[in-house]
Amino acid sequence: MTKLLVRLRPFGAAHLPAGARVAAVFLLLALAVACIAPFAVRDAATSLDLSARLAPPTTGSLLGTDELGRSVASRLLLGTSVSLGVAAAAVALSFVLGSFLGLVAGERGGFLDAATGRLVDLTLAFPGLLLAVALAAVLGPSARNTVLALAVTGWVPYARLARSEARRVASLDFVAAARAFGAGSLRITFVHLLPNVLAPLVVQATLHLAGAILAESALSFLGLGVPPPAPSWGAMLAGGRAHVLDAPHVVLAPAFAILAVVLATNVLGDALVDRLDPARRTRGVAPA
Amino acid sequence: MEGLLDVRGLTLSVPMGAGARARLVDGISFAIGKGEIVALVGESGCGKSLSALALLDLVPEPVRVDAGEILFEGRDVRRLPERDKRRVRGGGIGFVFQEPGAALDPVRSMGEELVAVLRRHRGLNRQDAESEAVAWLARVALPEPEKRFRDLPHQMSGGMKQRAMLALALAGGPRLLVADEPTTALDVTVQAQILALLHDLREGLGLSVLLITHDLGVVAETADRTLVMYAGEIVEEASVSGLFDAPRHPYTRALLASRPTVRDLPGQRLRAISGNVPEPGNRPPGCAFAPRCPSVFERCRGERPRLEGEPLRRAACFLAGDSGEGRAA
Repeated sequence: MTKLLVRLRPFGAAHLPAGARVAAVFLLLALAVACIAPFAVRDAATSLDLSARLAPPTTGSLLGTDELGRSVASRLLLGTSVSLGVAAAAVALSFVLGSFLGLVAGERGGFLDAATGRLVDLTLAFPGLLLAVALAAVLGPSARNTVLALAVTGWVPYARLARSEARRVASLDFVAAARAFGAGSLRITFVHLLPNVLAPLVVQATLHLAGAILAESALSFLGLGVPPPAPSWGAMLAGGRAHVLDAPHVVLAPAFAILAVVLATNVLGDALVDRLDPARRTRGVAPA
Repeated sequence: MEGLLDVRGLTLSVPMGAGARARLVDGISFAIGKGEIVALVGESGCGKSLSALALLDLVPEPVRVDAGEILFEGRDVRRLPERDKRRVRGGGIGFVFQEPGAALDPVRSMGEELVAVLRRHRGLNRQDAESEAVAWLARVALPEPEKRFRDLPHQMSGGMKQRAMLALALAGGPRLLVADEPTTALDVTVQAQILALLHDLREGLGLSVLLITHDLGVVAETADRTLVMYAGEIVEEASVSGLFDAPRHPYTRALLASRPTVRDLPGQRLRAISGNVPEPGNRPPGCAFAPRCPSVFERCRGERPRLEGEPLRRAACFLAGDSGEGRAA
């Protein structure tokens, strides 16, 4: 555990600028909401009241109601867990898959490396969201399929990053030394390379999370994401689309939620990139 | 003396583009007996370190072993299955790297690494390996070994790191220790400590040592026998006393003469060997040292001298023969 903490030391809150710290706190808050919402507002978010359709804010419910008379506030909170959940799952799957392929390719080299490289090229040749749309359409709308559709292209940046970092680290003396002490490929890859390439991958994940939230919203907006009545933010946008002029609150609430979360993850990600930029990094100096 | 390592005709090369390959190490042969300390001397870039890595079949890309047998305890390391190769690495041949700072994983503690080596090569369970690891840290004279066990490399000084490295190289129970410039990155006082430690450990464990260095002072202090390498070839083999008293190859002589001594006057220029080591792939057809040699003559430029003579006093030079018949030819 100590080793991981040493590697991830640049991520310590004390090292981040104020803006990034605010973003981090906001994201933690959103995460808490995502965890609690399914237990707190599930019924309120899905119960219809057709007599109170498109009610503006301040009349009883905090953010008004949508086109089916459901509480926008409740749906927004529940949407946090749907949108963040799907995005986070897609990021996690991409992270694990991409990092694994990249690490193994970088360590082994040769045919495996070339094969992974071609697979990366192939995936990059498709426009990412279009491929996700096609896949979601083929697989049918569900939370699991949305995650899969996003991960199918999402793993590529992790694989590229993990491969290049693994190759860089693998050329360092300590990896040669580990081999000279009889360590096998498996141990080299996961004990010596992985902890040493983790930091940039975590940064990539932060930036990817923003993209994944947007992509999930886009899929849901097109009706290819998480199916109703689950209130994804993208689906809320789609539902309120027809009433932008007469009841803008239905669209504005999820729009601002998406804006805030994406902005926060981007700010945090950028701050982490800066922390890891070798030119700006202040490293611990070994005692003489 | 009983043999331990026998290297025959080891040849290494790198691609030069357009299908051509440049030889970095050109058919070197040498043997190391049990309990012997052999020094491999030569300037930077002459192929010492690569030859050492080749003993473990671990030459880095894009270097390739073109030919040669590396017989360790009678078996050719290169022909062993991967499992047995790993057993030799660290278990049969221990390796100490030049820069202890760079050769230790920044995120792994000394103890963890030692435990891994002990479990791999000595088949110990975790508990036994942990107490044995602490014992090894004590054996290489690290103060407070229990505390050092949890230390990460950046928490230790250069000398401590090299001691830890030595413990790692020896914990697997190797019969041969290859030390690649083990003291070059260290202060002079720490150098002396490490060399003394190396000597004590060898006595205690009955180890053979291949000591790679460019520092002739280190050779004089530690080795039994010396191999002098130049441009990927072994040009002289001699006992340490023979090397210092009666060097046979002009390169060895120049190397010895270029050492600064306390008798040098202030302001006196250091004696350098003029010229440079020939680049790989651009080697002169005759003797590789010919362009820089003070006693070069016609034959040297066209014909390549071979390493001939008795094992303890031979040099690859036409002038090395006792009669000096080379010049007449």
